[in-house]
Amino acid sequence: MKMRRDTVTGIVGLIGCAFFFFMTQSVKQPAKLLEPGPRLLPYVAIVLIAMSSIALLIKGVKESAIEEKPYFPKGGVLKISRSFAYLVIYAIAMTWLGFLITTPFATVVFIYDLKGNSEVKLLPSILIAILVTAGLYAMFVFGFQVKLPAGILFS
Amino acid sequence: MAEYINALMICLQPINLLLIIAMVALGIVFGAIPGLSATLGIALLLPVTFGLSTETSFVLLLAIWIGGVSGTFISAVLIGIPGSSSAIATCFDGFPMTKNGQAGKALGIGMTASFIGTVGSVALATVLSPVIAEFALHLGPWEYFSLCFCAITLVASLSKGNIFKGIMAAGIGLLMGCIGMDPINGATRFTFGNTYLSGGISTVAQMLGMFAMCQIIRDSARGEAKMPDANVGNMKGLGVSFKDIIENIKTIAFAFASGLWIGFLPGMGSGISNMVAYGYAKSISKDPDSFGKGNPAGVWASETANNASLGGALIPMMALGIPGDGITAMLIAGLTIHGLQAGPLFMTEQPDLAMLIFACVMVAAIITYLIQILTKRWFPYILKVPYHYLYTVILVICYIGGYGISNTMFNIYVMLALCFLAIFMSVSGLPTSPLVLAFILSSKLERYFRQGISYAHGSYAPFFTRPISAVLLIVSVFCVVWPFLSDRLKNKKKMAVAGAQNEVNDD
Repeated sequence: MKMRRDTVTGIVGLIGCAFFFFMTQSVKQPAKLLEPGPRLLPYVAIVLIAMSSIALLIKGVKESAIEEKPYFPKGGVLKISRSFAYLVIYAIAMTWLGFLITTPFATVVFIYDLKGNSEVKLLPSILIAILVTAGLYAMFVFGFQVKLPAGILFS
Repeated sequence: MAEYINALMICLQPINLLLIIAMVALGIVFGAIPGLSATLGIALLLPVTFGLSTETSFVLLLAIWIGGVSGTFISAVLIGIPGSSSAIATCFDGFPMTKNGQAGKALGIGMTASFIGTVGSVALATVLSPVIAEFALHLGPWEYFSLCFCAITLVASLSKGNIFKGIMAAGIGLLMGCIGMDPINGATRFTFGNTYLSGGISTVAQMLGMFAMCQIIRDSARGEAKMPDANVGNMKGLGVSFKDIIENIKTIAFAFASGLWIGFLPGMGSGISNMVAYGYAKSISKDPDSFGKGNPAGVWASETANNASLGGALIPMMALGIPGDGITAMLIAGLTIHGLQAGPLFMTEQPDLAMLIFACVMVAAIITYLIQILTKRWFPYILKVPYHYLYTVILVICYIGGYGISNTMFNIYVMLALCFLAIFMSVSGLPTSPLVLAFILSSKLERYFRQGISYAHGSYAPFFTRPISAVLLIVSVFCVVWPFLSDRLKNKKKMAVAGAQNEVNDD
């Protein structure tokens, strides 16, 4: 049987609570404090999440017979996973190769990934990618004095 | 007054004026395109402000905010899709007006109503904020804790759908706020031995990851990144006369007052005020059936109210340091980047900068109106910008912004992790506003609570015995309990009606 989104949220919430509850035990609590100390806020947050998770879990189980409209259209989960993977690959590539080398390639990939049903031609996309990279580099590095990653291999 | 005039002069310096014009124009584009928003514009601009002076930074952020909030009516009127939730009610009559060949008039009303709402509310905020800040100086940590607590519970309880989802989102925000050193003893929490995390999660990384990145790849995966064509008729002239304003003065006055008040309350921003004002305009109309079919009063009400909320939200932000919504939370984050803390002390110790914020909003509102008058005929072209190019540029800017926070790749990975969290929240139906507010307020909430107990030698009593604190806590409890009570009352009423009907049928 397919679980409702509320049920999944409740389960994930409870697992998260258990993890952070365990982690909170390692927070050092100074002795002889007049006030509740640094463990208070994490405990409050954990209680709030746990309570809500249980409520969502119950709601999800109660409504399990009602059919739920899918959040993403067909193929949407694959698409968002792919888009997220591109974002991660870009970050890793930028770490090693820097902004200037990776951005033109990433820009072309993003354009194709986000185009949906629109028609996109390769040559204009490459041109746009180079212009975007050069324009943003000039604007941030020279205009706003913001440093950009040079890449581990080149620094 | 002298401080306000000085601030006005700073805004009118050629370089600042140019920046305001550029940012207002960019804000209008961000507001007009469904999916983009003033919130996203501010999130993208925050990293740009790292290398700029405080004054220039705020000129940029405020100008894009005003332009962005005002621009939301454009797509609502032209294609029936609101630029953000603040323009939902504008669609009801704005789009039918376009279909009736009155796009020019509907846009003119949107522009003028936005101008009236912003200018009026900001003028009031300028006068009221110092008075409230002066009063707020007499409050202790007990009242401040209760105020922060009240703001978070209000936002969580007003979340769309299930109240538990709002509470859960607030809980996640609080937990995220715990990462790093605690504000009283300096004990490290949830850093996992990573030194980069000891300073906590960067607000900028949070905004970029959870708003910009998540929204782009989510919209693309859901197939929402495309737009219908706008069907426009005559776009010449302003489309609105002074007579139109006089005819709708009652609607405008109520929309303004309700928008200002709703904007003042945490969590109840322009997304709610436009609907309330629309409902009122319909209820006082001599021809309520014409609403939804292109009645200009509907556009007047919605646009005046949502822009009046802007000034309303400025009051608690400036006077108390409490953000009313996601956008003001980001503005507070902008202040923090420059080592400033919004609140009563900011108003009294830095009156020049405080007044600069009010003056800049005022100048930006006037420039927004002028730009809209001059560029009205080109509004339909804004909606033709190809999403895949625009979104690609925004994604690259996110990476630049993430890197710029600490000149390390670490925050880019934080941003990606938060993007993942935001996708999960979005699929689960968990709202982001309570998370943002709880995250921003978490350190204040904790500090005031623990200080309050320390000052009272370990006693919790002052939270309940001090009148203002007690009232705020009662309001917070009411906010959480009310949705359940309201559901029970509705069910009871339904059962009573059904019972009465059964009795009639039996007879």
